Amino acid sequence: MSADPTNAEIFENLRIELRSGCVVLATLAELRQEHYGYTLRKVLADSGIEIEENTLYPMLRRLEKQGLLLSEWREEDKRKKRFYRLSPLGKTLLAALFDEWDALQAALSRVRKGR
Amino acid sequence: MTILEHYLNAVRGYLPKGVDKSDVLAELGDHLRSKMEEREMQLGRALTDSEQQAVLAALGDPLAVANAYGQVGPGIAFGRFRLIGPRAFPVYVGVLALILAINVVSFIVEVFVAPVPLWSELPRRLLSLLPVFVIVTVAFAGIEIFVERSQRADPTGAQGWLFWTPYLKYVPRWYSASGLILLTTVAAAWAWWWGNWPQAPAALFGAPAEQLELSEAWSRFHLILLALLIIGIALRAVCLARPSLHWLPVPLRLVVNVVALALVLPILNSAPVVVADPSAAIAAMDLATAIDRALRGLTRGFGLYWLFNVLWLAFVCFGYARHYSSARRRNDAGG
Repeated sequence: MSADPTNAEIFENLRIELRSGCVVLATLAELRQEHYGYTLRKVLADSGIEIEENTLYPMLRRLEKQGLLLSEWREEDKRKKRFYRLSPLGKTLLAALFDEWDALQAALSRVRKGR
Repeated sequence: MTILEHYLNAVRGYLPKGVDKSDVLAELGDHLRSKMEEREMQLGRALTDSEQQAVLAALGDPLAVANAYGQVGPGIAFGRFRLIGPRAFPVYVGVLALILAINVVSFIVEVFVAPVPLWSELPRRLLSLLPVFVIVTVAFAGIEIFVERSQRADPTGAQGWLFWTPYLKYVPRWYSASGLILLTTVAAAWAWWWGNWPQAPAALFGAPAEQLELSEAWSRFHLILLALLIIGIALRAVCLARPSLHWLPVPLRLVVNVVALALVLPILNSAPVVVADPSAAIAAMDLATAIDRALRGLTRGFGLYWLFNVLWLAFVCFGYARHYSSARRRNDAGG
């Protein structure tokens, strides 16, 4: 029923795969400071990382379930909001992930230069 | 209830089991309210219904939103080809169950009223339902394809998912306007026909129609049907003037259609509608028979139309009632 994927579709799929890990890393990094979903999405967007709501909220829940985030409902501007922040485990893993990121980036730079 | 609450209720309906629904919806609700407030700040005024709907449409189909939290309900698919999606599936199963229930009840009544050989008749009766089930399945598959196509053509539009969540839909003005014009025309034609009887039929069918007259029984239904038409006109006029009363047409139309449906049998039983003078020519009597036959056919046709309307409107009303009652329960629980 569907035609062969076009170059644009292939690129889009690869881009999404490439970004997905980065989005998690960026989210964890931003949550070193406390945020609720709406402001977190804005802060990420301001840093150049656009993320859809339908991706962000389920991801936050998944990360919380894995123990990387802590959350609590609190009232702000006369409305209850769910605030997220990095857990102690999240802090440890974020540091390890950034080390991994640096190593990966360095390796990729070498690979790129080699060509 | 606001359109945002309707939307969140629709998401709630699709959220998979095992998910803390209240928690997810509270968070989504806060997010959407924040987005709406931001938009209001930009515009410097409160958002209109359609602007609120645009904010919701940007988040997307309630089914897709729920799907992000886990696999949503069942459907029927063959490989990649989806015959009936999870959105239509509960309605589809409901329609099949309704058809089966009606047949089972009528069969049980038959067994008690007349001596029907139960075990030989039952398989035959069930087999006779097979074509009906196939027709219903094909109809739902057709709707699925139509809705999917319209969604593919306009991925950001809300029409595709609003089809299966009609209680989210504000009454569109075009519907009310076209309905108002149509019903006003029908009512005007009705009044003209009634006031000019038998000149009006004579203009259509020639001289023999002058020897015809409306039966006495018909005059009983005339006023009731005219009243239903006028209610329809008033309803659409109110919708045009006050679009915020988006909840009003569905229950009122259900009542009107139920009344109309209830009239079908008495109308059919009270035939003939048109009678010829006893001294009339044979041509006039033939004409009276032909008109009566046509009116009976028309009444049966309208009966089917009203029946489908009643089923559809009852489904929509059920959606409203379910969502309102669950919202009320949640409000009560929340103090």
